[in-house]
Amino acid sequence: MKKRIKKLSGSSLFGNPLILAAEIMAVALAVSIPAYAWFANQMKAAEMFKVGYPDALYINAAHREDRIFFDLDGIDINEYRLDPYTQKQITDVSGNAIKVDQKMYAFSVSGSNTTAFRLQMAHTTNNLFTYTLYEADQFDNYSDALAAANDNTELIVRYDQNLDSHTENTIQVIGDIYSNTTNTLYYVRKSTPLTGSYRNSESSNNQLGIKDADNKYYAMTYGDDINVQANAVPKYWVSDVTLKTSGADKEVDANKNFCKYFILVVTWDDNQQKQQTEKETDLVYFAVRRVN
Amino acid sequence: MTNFRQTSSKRRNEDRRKIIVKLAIMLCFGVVVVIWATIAWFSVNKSVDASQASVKTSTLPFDIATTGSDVRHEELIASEREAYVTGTPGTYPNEAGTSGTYYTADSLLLRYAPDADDPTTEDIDESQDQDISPGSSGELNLFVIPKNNNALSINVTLNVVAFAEIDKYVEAEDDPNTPEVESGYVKNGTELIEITNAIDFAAAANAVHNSSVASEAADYVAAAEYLRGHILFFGGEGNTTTGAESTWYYYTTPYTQRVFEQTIAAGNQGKAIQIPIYWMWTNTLGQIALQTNEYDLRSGIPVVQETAVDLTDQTVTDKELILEYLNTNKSSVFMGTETITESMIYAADLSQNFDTLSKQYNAADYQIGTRIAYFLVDVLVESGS
Repeated sequence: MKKRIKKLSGSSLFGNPLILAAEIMAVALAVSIPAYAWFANQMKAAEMFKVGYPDALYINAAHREDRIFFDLDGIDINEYRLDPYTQKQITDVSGNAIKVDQKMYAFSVSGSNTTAFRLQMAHTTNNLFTYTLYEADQFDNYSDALAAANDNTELIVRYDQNLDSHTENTIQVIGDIYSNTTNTLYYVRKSTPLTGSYRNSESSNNQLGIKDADNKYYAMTYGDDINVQANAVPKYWVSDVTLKTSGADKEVDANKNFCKYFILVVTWDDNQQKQQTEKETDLVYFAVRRVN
Repeated sequence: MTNFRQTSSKRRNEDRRKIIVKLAIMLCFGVVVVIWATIAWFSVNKSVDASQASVKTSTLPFDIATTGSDVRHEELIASEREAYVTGTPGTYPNEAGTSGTYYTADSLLLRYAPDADDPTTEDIDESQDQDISPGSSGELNLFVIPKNNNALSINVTLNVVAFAEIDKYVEAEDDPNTPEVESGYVKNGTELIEITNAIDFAAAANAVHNSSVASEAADYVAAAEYLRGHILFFGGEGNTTTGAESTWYYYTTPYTQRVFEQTIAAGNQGKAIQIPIYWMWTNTLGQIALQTNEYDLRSGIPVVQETAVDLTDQTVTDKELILEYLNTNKSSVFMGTETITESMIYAADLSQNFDTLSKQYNAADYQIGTRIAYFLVDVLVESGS
């Protein structure tokens, strides 16, 4: 027995199977204790959620510039037409300057993760103007714009970009990237107007369609006040625009962003305007909301 | 005699040796069994098999549980967080005594009920498992089942972990006709990457050959931070049903520190006691920051009750806690070049402040939406004091 103990104590730490076993056991215990302790002191629970792509919708000046650059400057019906490229007066075949019969303003509706939106135009009727909206295409080159317009300069809006004009909307659309330049862009309106309709009828209560049957639109603006001059009450025109999400002419890019251009065309009846000697200010509001 | 003795002594020695060897083998086997058992112990929790429910590891005086038929994005969590399991079903009564099926595990996937559109989860139609966006909110189905009748206290820590889903690229096979032209990489599915820090995220993006995402690693990390800033947690429901709509608010008890202690009364052994945790990704800044809606700036219902803030002690009411949260977490709530100051936050109803704060809040939301694909709400439950 004494011999064996001697033998044991004299053996190497790894030579004896008993000691080896004990060592493995000790190591196993040493490993398992912290792991056990860790589990014993806490429990965990988790739930995973999918984040949707943001749905943004903006209405801006042309090329998604800040709204302040959408400028409906004064309309002078006695002006003469200018060439959108040279900015010089256009003359007819006999060399006479041509009077303007319309004014055009380009603006943009852009956003992300949106496939359809409702575009609303509200305007007062002080000046008896006619407001028509068209979809438009953007060109950074005048000859391309002219070709798209079939050489009809009356379809082209010139737009000079402004510096530092993208503080409201920073969405970049593939194929229509903005940069901080003052380059000139040209917008060519489509041949047919945007389909849409006025929400308040033209005739009820003899107030230029101001009051509809249930008085809804009038009441939203003026409440119960009935002492409002008819032309100061806005008319609401609404169009539902659906974006093409597939095919060669799809309007949504790979990042689910889009930017659509529109041109507001203001026209008038020349004789009517001549009779209306006192000119007024009209307010035109645009608004968009998602419908999907 | 001597010979015999010698022989018998030899035999005894041999016997001893045999015993030692046997003992050693047994011990070795014992070690193997222990290790095995340990491994089994790890893997057992992954299984939903009820027969193995007896393997419980915890020395905590409670189990955690959840209820509901479905788990959101189960495969994705499994790929990212192996330890989480769907849990072992069992029947337990709730505090009121009504029995129901609850699932328990030490690392538990929380459940929800998709069959009914839960009115507490605004904007999430459970039947469609809709994506989360600003305005979304919900409740975590977390329960605690005490193991004895003593009163107990638990500490809960909430954490939001963001994941990006990025395009994965693989090396295209070179065209054998033009061996000198390298075909480069082609898109091949997507990869889910946990957003931790910029270096690791860039490395993970580079590993799937998406260098453009790798170059924007800092933006992804920022977006994850905005997500953490915009998801708020609460301990109670507000009032969105009774009285004038102008007095409505969604929640009470904001957990702005993401840590809270919950006590459970004595006498609840074996009962599933709910730990109420609500979360909300508030849609507009006006719902969070305004102390009054005097100037009609807010759209939507306020997230907590609007009260005027006492500037001498700013951490008493829910609104004070929320404003303090906005102030201390400016960089994870707001995004923009203009510096947000404490005075702007505490005077959010001044229209120029409101515009700046709103714009920056929305800009951060946009970053979250474009860069974060999934987020995990991690709940850590520990024994309290």
